Amino acid sequence: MRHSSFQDFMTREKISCGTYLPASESLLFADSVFDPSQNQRISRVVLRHIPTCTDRLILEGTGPMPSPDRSCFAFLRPAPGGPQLCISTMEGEVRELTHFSAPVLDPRWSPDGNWLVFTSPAADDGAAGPAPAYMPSMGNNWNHALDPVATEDFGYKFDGLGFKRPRVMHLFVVPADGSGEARRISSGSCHFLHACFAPDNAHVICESNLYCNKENSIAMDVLSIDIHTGEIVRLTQDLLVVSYPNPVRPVCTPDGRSLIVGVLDMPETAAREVAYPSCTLCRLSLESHELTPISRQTEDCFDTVQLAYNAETGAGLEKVVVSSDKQSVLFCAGYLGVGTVYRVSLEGARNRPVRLTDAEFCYNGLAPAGDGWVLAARSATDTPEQYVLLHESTGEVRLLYQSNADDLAETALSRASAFSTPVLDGEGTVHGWCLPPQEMQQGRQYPCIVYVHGGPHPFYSNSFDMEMQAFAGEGFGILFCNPRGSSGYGDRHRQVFHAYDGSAYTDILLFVREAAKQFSWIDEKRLGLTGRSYGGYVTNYAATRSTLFKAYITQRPTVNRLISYASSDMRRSSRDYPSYGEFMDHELEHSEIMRMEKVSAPFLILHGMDDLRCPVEGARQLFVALRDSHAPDFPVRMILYPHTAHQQPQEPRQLQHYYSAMLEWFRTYL
Amino acid sequence: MKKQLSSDLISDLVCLSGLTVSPDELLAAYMERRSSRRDGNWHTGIRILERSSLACAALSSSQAAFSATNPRFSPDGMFLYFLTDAPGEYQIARIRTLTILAALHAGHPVDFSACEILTHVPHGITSYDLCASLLVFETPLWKNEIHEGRGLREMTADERAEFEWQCDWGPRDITELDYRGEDLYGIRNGSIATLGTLDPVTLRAILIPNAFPLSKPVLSSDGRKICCHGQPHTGPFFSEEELFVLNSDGSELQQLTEDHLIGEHPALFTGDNLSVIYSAWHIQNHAMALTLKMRTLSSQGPVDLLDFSHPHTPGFDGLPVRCTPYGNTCSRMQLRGSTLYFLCAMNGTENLYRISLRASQVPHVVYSGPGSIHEFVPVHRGFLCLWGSDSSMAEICELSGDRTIRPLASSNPVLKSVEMGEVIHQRVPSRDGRAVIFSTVYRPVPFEEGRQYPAVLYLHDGPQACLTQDFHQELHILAASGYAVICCDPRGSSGYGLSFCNRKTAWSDTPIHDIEDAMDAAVSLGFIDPNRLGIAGEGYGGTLTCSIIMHTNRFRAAIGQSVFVNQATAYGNGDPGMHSPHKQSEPVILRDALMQRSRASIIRDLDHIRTPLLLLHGYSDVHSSFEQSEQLFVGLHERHPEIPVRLVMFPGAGHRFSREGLLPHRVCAVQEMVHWFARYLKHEEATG
Repeated sequence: MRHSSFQDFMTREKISCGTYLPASESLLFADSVFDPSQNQRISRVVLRHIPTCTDRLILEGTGPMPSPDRSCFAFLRPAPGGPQLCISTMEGEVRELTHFSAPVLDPRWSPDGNWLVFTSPAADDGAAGPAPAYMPSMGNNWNHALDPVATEDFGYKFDGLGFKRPRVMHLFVVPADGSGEARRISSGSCHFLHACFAPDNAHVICESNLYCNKENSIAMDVLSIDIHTGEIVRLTQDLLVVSYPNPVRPVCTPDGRSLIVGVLDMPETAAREVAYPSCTLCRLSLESHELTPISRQTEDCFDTVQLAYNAETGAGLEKVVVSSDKQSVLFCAGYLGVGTVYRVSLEGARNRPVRLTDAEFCYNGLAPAGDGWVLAARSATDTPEQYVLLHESTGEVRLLYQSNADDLAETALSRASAFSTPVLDGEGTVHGWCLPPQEMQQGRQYPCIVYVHGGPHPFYSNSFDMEMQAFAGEGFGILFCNPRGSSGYGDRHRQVFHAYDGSAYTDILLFVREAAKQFSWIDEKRLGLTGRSYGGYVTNYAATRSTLFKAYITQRPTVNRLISYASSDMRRSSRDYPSYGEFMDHELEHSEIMRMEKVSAPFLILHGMDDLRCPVEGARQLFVALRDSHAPDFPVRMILYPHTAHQQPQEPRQLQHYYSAMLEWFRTYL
Repeated sequence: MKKQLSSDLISDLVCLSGLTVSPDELLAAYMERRSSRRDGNWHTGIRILERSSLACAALSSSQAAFSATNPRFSPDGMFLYFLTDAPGEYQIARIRTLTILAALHAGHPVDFSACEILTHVPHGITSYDLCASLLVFETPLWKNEIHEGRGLREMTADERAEFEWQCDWGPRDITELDYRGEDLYGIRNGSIATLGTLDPVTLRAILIPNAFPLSKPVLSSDGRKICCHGQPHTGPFFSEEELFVLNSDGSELQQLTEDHLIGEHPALFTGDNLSVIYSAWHIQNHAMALTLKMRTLSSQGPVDLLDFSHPHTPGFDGLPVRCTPYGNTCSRMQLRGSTLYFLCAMNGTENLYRISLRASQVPHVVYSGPGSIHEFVPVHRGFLCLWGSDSSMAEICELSGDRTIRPLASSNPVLKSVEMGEVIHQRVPSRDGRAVIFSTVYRPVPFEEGRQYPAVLYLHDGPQACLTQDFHQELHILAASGYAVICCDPRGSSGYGLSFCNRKTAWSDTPIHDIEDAMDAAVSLGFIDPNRLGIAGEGYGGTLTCSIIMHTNRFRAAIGQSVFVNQATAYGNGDPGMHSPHKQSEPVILRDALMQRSRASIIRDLDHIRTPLLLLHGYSDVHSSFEQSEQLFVGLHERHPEIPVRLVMFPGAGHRFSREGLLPHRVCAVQEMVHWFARYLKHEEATG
């Protein structure tokens, strides 16, 4: 058996946008595979006949979306200005529907199959406010990315998108038969996202920040837009429909009279504390705009949306779908560290959700499949992503497609063991996993990496994690857990306050101690600590307090709250402080940068240069502070990645460099 | 009828630099920089002037657009050497003087195709010097290129693709403290400035690899010695330079200084090649100025050429703010026999001085205005120089023995058809009676006697800098938009003697008092409406602007460009943050250091601002990071939403983008200023 390596990031298969077509017993999906001849990834749309395991159709493209009558499918084909919308018959006859100079995104069919709605970035209508004053007319060689950007309000930048250009996401509709050109149905200078058609085929339901406070970036309003007149009806008033980072697309009820939307339970003080609220599924009447919660919190269902930190599954699938009997909706939510599928009745209010899946696999992403079944994406710590058919009532499962099947057979993937330990203040337990090194030798001791998740509100799940397997393949054990602040363990556990008051840190230390007790192969003298974003914050926090860890890698952390206040796209408020000076002192007092001279083990900083969430300015300050306050031979290193936002580098060579640097650091110091 | 000066004209202005003269003094060559509307960048050409006929010819090609810089005549007068990017990277090239003369006499441009490209280094040549028998050059190289012997040939297509990936996408791997620099607009890229020599006869080039960077080389006239700057330090002093001398075969590298204090100007060999003259910082009780030092190579320690105990000693250079970028090859000191001529800004003009090569001299004035000399070359019975004034961009001129300036050619004829306001120079006694503040007031255009106009107070960057009599384009554009413009050099500025330029004073209330006094004096001229005053500043001036509007509501609108307001967030993010406490060799307690920075930050008084504020900032500003403007913008907008605040971000732009940056950035910055003041001083909405 071979071992996993970081090279596997390049070569592994990634699947998305799966739909099961029962009449033809086929699976329509997109996969991204490595083409050794071109030394790069290619994205393909695949139509696979399940009983014979044969691919009936392969096209270059992404995002396949079958028509309501299943006679053809829409998909996005690469083009110079970005992907364009095409329609293909099941036999592969392709017709192009758009010829935009900008990318086309997220297409959805009308129920009658006559229309498609999609989003695309387009120039705003000038009401966006300040454009930079007069620019001289420039020749063709001028790079417009260098155009100045002017702002007089918040919301002028967003991580991953950069500074706000006078372009916003607009909605377009196009006749599916190609009888007309695509036309824009939205206007103004705000975003219109996550659209779907209403059952009447004449209105598009979407989410928009048209009426929202610009400071609010995680929730939007639901609107209905008449595709013929462009008339907008605002369906929600001061209601916050979950939009970021894990959007729930509104779903129409089968009777066409309501929408199911995911509503954030935004506490009064939400703006004051960086907390991610929980989400309730509600029925929104299209007539009265009345809102009724359809689910309630129970002892085995804490939430109706999940933020599984490491569940790289379910790309392009939905979070909420209507069951084929039209009586209930199915949704995924986190329960004790596992992505779980629930069913809840559409009728009435505050119904008790029924849990359909167990803890063996982590589910993340659903698509309707008909006849009492739903397609679901799932994985386990030693099993890469699968598409399965899940029975809507019994929870019975049938495997449709196993991605990376060859790798699965040839690689010595490790399986993580789950365990829990009580927290110090007796307020519950901390739950997590230990992933052993691949093909561990009996009696030998191994170095171990403690990996802290970001957020703090997402949770680690038991899903497949390529990065952890690669470390396991290189001979490291991995410990990962869900300390206080993580979701999926109830409201008390998720309180954000405990993520920053030291409780989460002690939870992690207790978890590590328990792991060392349970697994004799863990060499307690060779422990390393790393984490991204909030996990980077915990890494910094631990580095100034603990002597347990022999090497640290902090990935894109928040370092100085005063820097984040002005330079992050998500920020705290200074309004409660009588003077700005007092606010400054308070923010500094609560910033980890203030104690960094206490770090006593080798410290590596990894940060994206375009990170606007945890601004790169913080990394620069952290590096200089560590260098300034330590002897010249103390091992401190910072690696900054150009064109990289608040995420791992997306460019393949950069990503290889990133993991090589991590591996080298832990190998050298553990 | 004359035209109004507008920001459109910025793209038409031509900036001159790099003046040089042929050994027989018959030909002068200089660079002309202009901005391209094609890509927004600066493009440089070389123009040659025949002094007897005043005929001019530009080096040009009908084939392709290229830049040519750094012209130098060979000592035998046979060739004009220069750098050109026609081969892709800047390489040394030369053209026969006879070819130039033929073109001048025929009235044609000098055909570029007649020139020879002499070097083929992979990343271009940064600077060079020459004598009769040798050329020395500086080129950036990476360690692996030196080891693999790739330092003297152009990159292959694969190597270029890899190099471009590394420049654009390559991870920045940082272990040294001083890893960023404004000159790089970002992070050091790992290249090492390396010297090489070129034999002008055999055209054989040789590299002189060294463990640390060596730059700005100059040759002794016999070609046996090279004097250059070097970066021998590690850790927090990594980027600081010292002076070195070595044999031109690369042997016997000798470090001449070790005090971290040399100036940025290339050194100069004396006529006997036994000594070098160089610039260095003179620091005395928080006051600082550049001085000139001479070091005999065989002796220990340098001799100070200037006597700072004398109150009228100007120092060297004087750090004038140049509102147009004239390039970086200024000949600011020249030897003629045993007399050293040099330039220094003093009392509002850039003056020419001379001294003999002895210790502790008080310089003699050769020329002290009107206007400013940017560069000069001594010639028989006078000087050739680049000279500019309040109403004229620098042009090539002759300075005769009787101190008269005679223009020889004009690169900016466009300005002759532009109406410019009168510029009034005032000398204002400071309120404490200890200084005289030099102030300049631009009358608005058009100007009507008896009318009162809104006015803008403009504060320069620095604090160690000064506004000399020169063509300051943005001030003229503000005047042409109907504003009186007031600017002055408050205490803390350079160019008024050593004691005036005190760092401690610059950050006290004294400059604010000086500015108020200058403003009151300007208002007393009678044409300024004291109720319609605006304030704008760049860098230090922008910071001062913010500080002033936190303490007075006298101004109707304010503009801060590249401001520095929060020392606690600047730590690690800007040059001031890079000044490491290591230098005090005490243990660093970060809490103490950061709280001290927080308490010293002017942004603490943000709640006092009542003035509409426009912030202009380059996103790649390494001096004062963009986050500084964000601190003000976000804090002010959140806490006082009733006060208009606007932030304009210039992608890829550095600290001095409004002078040296891309054309659209320069134009946009001026337009933003004009529109902001129109909104709050004239209540006009911007029309674009």
